[in-house]
Amino acid sequence: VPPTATLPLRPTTTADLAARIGGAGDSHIRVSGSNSLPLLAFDPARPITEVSTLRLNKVLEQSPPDMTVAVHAGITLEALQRQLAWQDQWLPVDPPVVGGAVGALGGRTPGQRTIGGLVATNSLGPLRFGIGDWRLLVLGMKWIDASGTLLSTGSRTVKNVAGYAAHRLLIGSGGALGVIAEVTLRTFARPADEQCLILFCESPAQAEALVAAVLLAPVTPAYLQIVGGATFAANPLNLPPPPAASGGGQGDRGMAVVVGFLGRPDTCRAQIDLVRRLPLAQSIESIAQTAAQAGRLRLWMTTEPAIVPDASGIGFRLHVRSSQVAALVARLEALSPDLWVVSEAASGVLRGTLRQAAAAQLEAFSSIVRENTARLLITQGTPVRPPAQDNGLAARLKRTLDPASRFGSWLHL
Amino acid sequence: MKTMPAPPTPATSDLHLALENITGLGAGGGGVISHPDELIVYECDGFTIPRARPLAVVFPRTTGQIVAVVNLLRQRNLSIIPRGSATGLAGGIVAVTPGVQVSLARMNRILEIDLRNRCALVEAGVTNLALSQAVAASPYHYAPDPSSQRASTIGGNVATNAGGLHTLKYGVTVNHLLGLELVLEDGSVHTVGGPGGHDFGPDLAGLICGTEGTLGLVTKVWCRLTPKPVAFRTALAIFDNTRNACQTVADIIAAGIIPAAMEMMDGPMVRIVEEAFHLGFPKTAQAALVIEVDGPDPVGGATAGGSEEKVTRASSLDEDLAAIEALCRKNNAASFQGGRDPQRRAELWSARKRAFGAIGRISPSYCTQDACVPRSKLPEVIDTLAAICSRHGLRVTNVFHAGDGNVHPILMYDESDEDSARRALAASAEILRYCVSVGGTVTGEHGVGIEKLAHLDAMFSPADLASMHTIRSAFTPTDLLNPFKSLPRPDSPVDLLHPTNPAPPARKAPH
Repeated sequence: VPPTATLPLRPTTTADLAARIGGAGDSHIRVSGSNSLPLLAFDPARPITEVSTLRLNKVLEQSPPDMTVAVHAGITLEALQRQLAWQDQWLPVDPPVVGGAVGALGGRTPGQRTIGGLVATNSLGPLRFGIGDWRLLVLGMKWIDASGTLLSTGSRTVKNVAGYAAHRLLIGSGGALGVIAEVTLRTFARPADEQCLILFCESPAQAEALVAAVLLAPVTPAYLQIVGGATFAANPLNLPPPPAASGGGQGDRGMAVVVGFLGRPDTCRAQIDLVRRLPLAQSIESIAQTAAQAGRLRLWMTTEPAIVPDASGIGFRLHVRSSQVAALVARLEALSPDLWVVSEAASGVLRGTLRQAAAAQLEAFSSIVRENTARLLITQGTPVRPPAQDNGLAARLKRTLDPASRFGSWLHL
Repeated sequence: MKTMPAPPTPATSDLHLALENITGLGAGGGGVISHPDELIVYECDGFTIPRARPLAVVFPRTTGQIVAVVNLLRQRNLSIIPRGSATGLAGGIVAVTPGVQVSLARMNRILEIDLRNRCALVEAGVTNLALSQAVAASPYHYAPDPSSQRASTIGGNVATNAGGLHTLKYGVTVNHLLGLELVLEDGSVHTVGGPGGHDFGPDLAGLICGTEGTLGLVTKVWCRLTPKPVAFRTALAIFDNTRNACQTVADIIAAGIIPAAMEMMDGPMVRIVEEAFHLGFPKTAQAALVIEVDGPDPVGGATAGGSEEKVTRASSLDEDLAAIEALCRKNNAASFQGGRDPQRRAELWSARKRAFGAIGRISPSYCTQDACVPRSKLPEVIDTLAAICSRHGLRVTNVFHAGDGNVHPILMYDESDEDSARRALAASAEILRYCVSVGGTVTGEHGVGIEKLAHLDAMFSPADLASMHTIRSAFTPTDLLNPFKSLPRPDSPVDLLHPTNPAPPARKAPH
């Protein structure tokens, strides 16, 4: 990404943002909020106009009885959560840290990330499984196209099929189709409690069987994670590492399965009891965590894989079927003692960091990705060529909506 | 309000032969129909005011046959109109320009059920209920449950982003859509999303859902399967006026309770339903709320085996039900009955799903509107809708998804009286624009079709609509796919009372 020679523009109103984009001539437009994922490439020969959304940070309209809120794209998640908390509501998303470790140059905590950046990169965390999916949460949007025109899509109501849902098109688009200016969101009542159960599995096969059993059980987890054994051993809560299977070889190491619940304390407790009573779970060592500990563990699971890789390493996000996750976590951890990986076991999303990597390890990583027909997004470091994918429609839309490629082009599609 | 179709011409006969010559399409007979008498039932969907016959209807069995049909129709510059079960309520399948309906009814195979990964791959013509029945022995179901679920297809549900009775908690079709296969106007076949759903890159499946077949012909759908709730509490609350019932809905939402469903019937509908199904509703009631909470209810005693056991302590569902009852009482409910009786539950939901059909007892024709409003506005909205219909001299009744703020005023008119139909359309227009003025939308789940084309300008600026047309042009540069639907065009031939236009306007130039 070529550097810009000037300081970013910092509009304070949506109209101003549109005017800045419309008035930027032939230059590329690079929108920065909270330093979200590097999804875009820019032509180094073209000038770049950098636009920051950080001053577009207002709550525009909140309707607590309707459980909706409209915000500027540049508002941070923690600022929005603070505002919603006054009405005992929240936005149930827990995205990962981005830009490297917290405190590192460019690093952002989940709370420091902007709503626009989160939506544009479809950034979600463990809560994606139970409740927090941007498709469900985003009701409408104002966005700015390549000509600088301010446009509306969606509505303020929880159901709407009027007009095309361009707001859904922009979820995960990385900003390559347009700039998100305002977002109308659905909110939820804050849960009274959070509890989780950590189950220490000896092998990926046992973890997979356990995840399958939990998914069949009459419980409603808010999150269901598999954490690689080596990754979990670094947890800050002084929890023991998962045991490795006796005689287990490479790819057959222990891992932690974390099942979390939100809701009334007795409901959470009862569901944890129910998971523990599952036939398979009865033979697996487990530890229950109450509210504060569960919240810390969940936060750690979103931040840990963002350890800054060195020049040879990578940060990655993979997407596979849920049933592939446990085995894939084990295979990835076996690649290197410097690999960290956590996964949303039910959603099929893995995030991790390969801190240092020789060329052979990167090739082995690519090979595992291909064998699993995983979708790959490199979040930090040198891109690894992803498997071939049908991008015909996305490319058509890009050519139609941004023919001059003002917003850059996708690195990964 | 029928208009005469163009008589069969050599061109249509030639078209019939050409369609039948597509490999496999004519095999076994009935793959192509084009006789005017046979086409009568293909003139409209559930929105019966505008009618127009297509030139033909084809019934392909494979994606390959659909590609061949699309290529043939494109070469002849004829419209391509996708058709599911025609349960739509907005005129989305009416052939407003000369064209051929492509019925997905014979693409009705369930191709894969993957319970471990909670997904199923189905052809677009599989009915909504068939999918849930196919996984009935498992702990899963397909959650979107439109009232038409016995007949409506998954492809049709995707076309309109269909909702249903239990979308308040479980979401609408797009929240259960993982991926799809679609055929574009140029005959190309694309897969977007997949069994794992969307992660990064533009959410194309999310965009396509709800676009009424205007971007492509959806041929296969990856559906998310959802755990069936194992415990229920279902309540019936009766009110002496609709305003109190609506206020109760707003209060329940504001309290942070998310029932699985919260449905409302006004007084006339209560009486219609009572006369049809004899459920013991008081005939003096002015409003009834059917409210359901569901879940795993582990406190109430759901076991790891998935069945309810004897309850020994207050359950979370009972606590929710108690909170709901308190809010009903606060709003002066005349009566409140709540419980876990499965037979009573089945009766209530069966009656609710068949309520529309029961209207036929008192009116030969009716038009159902579909606005959605912020839930806090429901009390004033329901009063205003009644006033609008009264002013237009129309009878109206309401049965709707109150928990979503999705109102369904049912305007009763006389199909044989053009003035009556005209008043129904005028009242509908006023209702929709009023709902937009209080922060709502013109359609919550039925779609725009041709019915609401004239009202999108109340929600969207010309620039907004132009951008949507730009998106459309990326998929269908010449607008052959279900043209003039979903988005208004200034050259639209659509006249809701006289929709057939034998001389279509010029096609859009390729983008």
